Amino acid sequence: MSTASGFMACVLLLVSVGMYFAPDGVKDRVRSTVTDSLRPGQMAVRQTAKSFRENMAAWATKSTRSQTREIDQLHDQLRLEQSRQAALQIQLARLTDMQLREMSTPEPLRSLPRLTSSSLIDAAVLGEAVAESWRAGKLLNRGDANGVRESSLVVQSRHPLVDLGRDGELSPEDALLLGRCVIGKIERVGRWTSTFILLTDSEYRGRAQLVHQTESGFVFGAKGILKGQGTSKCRLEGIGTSDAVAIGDAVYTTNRDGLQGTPLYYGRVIEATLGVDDKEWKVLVDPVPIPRDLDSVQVLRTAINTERLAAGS
Amino acid sequence: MLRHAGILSLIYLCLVVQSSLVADLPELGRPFLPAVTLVLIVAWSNPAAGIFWSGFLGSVLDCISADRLGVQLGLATILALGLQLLKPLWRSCHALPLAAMALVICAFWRLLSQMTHAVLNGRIVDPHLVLKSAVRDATSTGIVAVVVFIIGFGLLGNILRSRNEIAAPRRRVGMAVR
Repeated sequence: MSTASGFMACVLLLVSVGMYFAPDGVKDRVRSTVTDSLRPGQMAVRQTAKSFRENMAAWATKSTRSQTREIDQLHDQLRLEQSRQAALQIQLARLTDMQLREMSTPEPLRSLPRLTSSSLIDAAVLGEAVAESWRAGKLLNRGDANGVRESSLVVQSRHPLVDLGRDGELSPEDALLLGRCVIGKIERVGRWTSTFILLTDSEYRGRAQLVHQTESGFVFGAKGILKGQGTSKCRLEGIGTSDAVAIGDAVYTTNRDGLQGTPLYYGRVIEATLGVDDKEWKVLVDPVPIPRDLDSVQVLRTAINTERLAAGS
Repeated sequence: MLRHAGILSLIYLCLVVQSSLVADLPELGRPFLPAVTLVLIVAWSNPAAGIFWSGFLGSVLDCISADRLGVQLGLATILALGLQLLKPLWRSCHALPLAAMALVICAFWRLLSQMTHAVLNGRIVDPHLVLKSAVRDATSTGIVAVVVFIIGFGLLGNILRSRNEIAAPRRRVGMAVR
């Protein structure tokens, strides 16, 4: 150890002794000077720690919310895929049934085309602002004189719009699809646009039937009427007490209301109660989730088959 | 100058963190900041400057603790002297023995501090209890010292060794030129 360091140590030890015996007034002044000089740093450290804690809490909340949102989206996708799979299985069963019938039908009758034909057409859902402008006639620069005004029924309705009307050969009651799932139907058809109601709207009515999944495949069950209630769930009415209903049963359109005879998916039974004095089951159905930012749908059109008209004439 | 400014900044940072965040922690959870800062000062500077800055750290700690002024200054000076004696051993040590040394310094400072205050206050002290509490406090806070020194001195040791390896050939060249 060098002389300088030894000298320094002695000086400091003497200072320490001096500070120990210093008067209280001197000690207080020294203390207050030191604490005042530390105050800016202390405030900065506390503020930094507080910001760090707040950012960590916000990050944790955000990541939890985004994870929850992601999980919900994955659940929705899973349900849609499951319903699509079920619809494909039913279509397969239906095609097999048709093939068997055709093989047993006499030759002349088999060549006759169907009276009606159904087809799918894509339609865009008009946003609220565009729909409002459309109803107010702001999007058309020619007025009633040229006969290009939209139908008053469509204009007066408050329901959402799709961008197809009579020009797209739509009809009232045409089903509105998302994939192979029914989400609503056409309410009023205008010249260029049409209004639609969703499954969950209180005005919605549709023929439906239960489909039970068994080990040996799908079994068609009782038929009823699916009604919207203005809430997120629908009610299936007309299921008698002698019919079987189970939670988890799928609800489809009836055979004749599907796509070329193939039933379309509505949703799943989540509640089925039968009271002592009830004449029918009280069945609650969870419909297919509808995206909040719905911008395009498919419309199931049913029209007279011109081939049949030509064959009959 | 840069080194002195760095040491002063290190001391200021240690003291503001110790007096703002650390003061809110339970006693057993209070970290080792002053002791580790002391060791870093001694490692980073020449002997006289190291003792000076160590004493400065001790004196400012006195003002924060509101105990008798001069006690921490004296203890810090004595510890810095002891560290100067041990300093030649550091260069030959690996990080783990250095971290263990830091743990011992923490315990020793706690022990010295409690004994000194007890004597100055005229209390009769049970040396076993004092030693037990000092070891307990040092262990709980020294665990962090072990982690920091394994990382810090591991890096610092490599830097010092590389500087020695560079300096040795230069000395040999210098001797050859003479």
